[in-house]
Amino acid sequence: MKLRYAAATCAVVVVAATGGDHAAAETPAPRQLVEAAYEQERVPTMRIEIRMTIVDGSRQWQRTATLESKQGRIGTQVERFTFRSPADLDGSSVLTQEQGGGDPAQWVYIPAYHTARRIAVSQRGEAYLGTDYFYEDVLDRRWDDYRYQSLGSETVDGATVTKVEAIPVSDVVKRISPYSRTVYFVDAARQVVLREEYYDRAGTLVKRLTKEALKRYGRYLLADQATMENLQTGHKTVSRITKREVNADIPDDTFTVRALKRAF
Amino acid sequence: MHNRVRSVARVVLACLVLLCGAVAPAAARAQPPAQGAETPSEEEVPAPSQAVAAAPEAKSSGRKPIALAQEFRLSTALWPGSVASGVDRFWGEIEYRPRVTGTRSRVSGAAELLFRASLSGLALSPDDSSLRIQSDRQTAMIKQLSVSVHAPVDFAIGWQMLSWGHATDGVRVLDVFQRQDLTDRLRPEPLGIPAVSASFGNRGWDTEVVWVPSALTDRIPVSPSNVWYAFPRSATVAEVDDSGVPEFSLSHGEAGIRVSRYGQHGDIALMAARTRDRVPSALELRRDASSGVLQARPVFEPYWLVGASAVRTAGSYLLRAEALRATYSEAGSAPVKSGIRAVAGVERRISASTDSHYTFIAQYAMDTTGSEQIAQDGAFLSSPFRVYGHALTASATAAWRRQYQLETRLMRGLEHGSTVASTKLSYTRNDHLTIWVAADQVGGRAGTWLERLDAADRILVGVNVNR
Repeated sequence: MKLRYAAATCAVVVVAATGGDHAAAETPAPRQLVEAAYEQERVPTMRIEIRMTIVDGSRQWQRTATLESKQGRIGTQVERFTFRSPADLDGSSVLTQEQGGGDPAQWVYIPAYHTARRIAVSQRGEAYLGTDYFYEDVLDRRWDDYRYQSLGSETVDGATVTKVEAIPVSDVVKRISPYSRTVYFVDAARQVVLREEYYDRAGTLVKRLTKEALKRYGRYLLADQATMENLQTGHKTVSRITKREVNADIPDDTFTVRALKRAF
Repeated sequence: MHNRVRSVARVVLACLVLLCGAVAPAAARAQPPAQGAETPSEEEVPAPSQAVAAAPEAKSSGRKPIALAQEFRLSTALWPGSVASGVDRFWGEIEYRPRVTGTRSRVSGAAELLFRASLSGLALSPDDSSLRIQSDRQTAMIKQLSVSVHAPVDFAIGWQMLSWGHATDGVRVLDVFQRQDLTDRLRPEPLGIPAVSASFGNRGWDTEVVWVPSALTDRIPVSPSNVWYAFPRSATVAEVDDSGVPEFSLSHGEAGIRVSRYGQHGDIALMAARTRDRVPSALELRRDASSGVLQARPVFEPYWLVGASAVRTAGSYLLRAEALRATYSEAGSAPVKSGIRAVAGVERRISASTDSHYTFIAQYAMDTTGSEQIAQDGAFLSSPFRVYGHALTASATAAWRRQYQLETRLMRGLEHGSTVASTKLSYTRNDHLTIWVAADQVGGRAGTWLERLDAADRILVGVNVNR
């Protein structure tokens, strides 16, 4: 009797294990879905020119900007975002440095003040330079700092996507991040995130990022349009890429505070 | 003096035009493709049921076009209190501020000018209620006019904005190479200084050196009708003698070096310089030999300095500190003592929602070369611009709905309790239009320079238009 029970148990375990592996091969774990999508669009060096439309109710106005970045493994990136127009914002920049997985450092440079100011950690939940992007939004996602779960599937712009919820588990992220959870809408077939929804600390949906106009640049599938919408205020920022250089030749000293001050 | 300045401005402007013109053809040539560059001309990948339009491609320029920013400011100020006789109670000003920047290859240029028309009047004198030009404020000046060459070592020549501090709140002890327009004491205007500078980076450290061929002072209020007049209004002092202002001479040159590092958790900088006070170090009272009139003569003393600054993040707080040791020549005639100027503070920002936040900053400032009380040593009075020995400053800013900002600032002297407070409410409609209203209050204790500005309480209204 005991033998039969043990054999049956073993059989169930073997079947379950085999089936589990098979299932895992067909449907990656939620974390792997998101991570693979972000890894797919991780370009070593890139320079893009952006036409930005900021919409506030019935009013809207235009800006142009340049984004230059160098990305290594997660937690290692430098990025410089610089407004080019309107002319009075020309040269206003945000510099982000993340090295070796350590704490990110960010500075904002406003030409009118002729000096760069370090961004405090508590400032990462603020929109920068009048857009709907937070300082936090340009930082690398540290995947280990979150717990993931699938929220099922739905269709976004005709594509079947898996909704993956990421909730901070790291004490530091819980304390610093303006978001209590993020939901990614992952198109697993194309390895791309089509939408992200951000919830504030009270658990209310506050922002939605929508990526459109997907275009392939070599082996990278990238969105040439992104809309960040603040659902609390109705304010939104529509960014359309007008030029993209993948694997661009960008000097290292572009990503220094000294370089921010050049010519201004 | 001013003719020389204008001549130098013309030369720098000519250099700017020539340099930009000379490098433009080189920049206009096709840029070599970046190594391994992948062009964006590949196929779009529409979602299964949706085709998306291609993003318009911009022509490859390889350079930053010349950008012209123009700002117009219209403002009025009213002093409702009992100002001294002959002092204007009303200012109406219009400013035009064009700024041009451009980059060609490794050369960039920046020019920023300020044109200000200022009317003032409504003095208390019964026979003087008309409006007139406020001579302290009406001006056309260069704020910045420089050409930079970017190579492993960056060089810049011309009127430059040199900010060497770490952006402490309002008290910037290390910005010794930045001039200011102090004709409105509570709203100083930063000005460039004619200089040659070089900077380079190595392993995360930046080094900057600057040479200022000849000292240049701040613009200080010299018109008695200006409520911010910097000199004694006593009936016995009839006029200001500007012979203490250093003339253009290479022997009045200044130089400095700054080494800085911008790191993961904080920024630090060390500096050393030979420079000169840009505000009066002291006022000398003396009688003119020919007219017998008592004059106030500001003196601007040179000094050596070593200084340091640091910024560090600590959790949700940002800590900032700047300090310098100023060493004046003991051989100098003015009673200016060597000492320390320093400021240290903490900043805390709180986000209340996605589009509103609060900022609180508290600082302690000390200046052992200054004094809250007017000190006299023989014929010399202490500087009317170094108005505290020890002081606390605080500011609180609330910004909400991206359009509204309320900012309050306070400085309180710890020796006698003089205070200066300012509040400003602004509404920003979009990138191009800001409307603001502000109020300032000065409460000087007896025997202090701020007491003499006790009637400087005012309200202001303004509109800024950017194009």
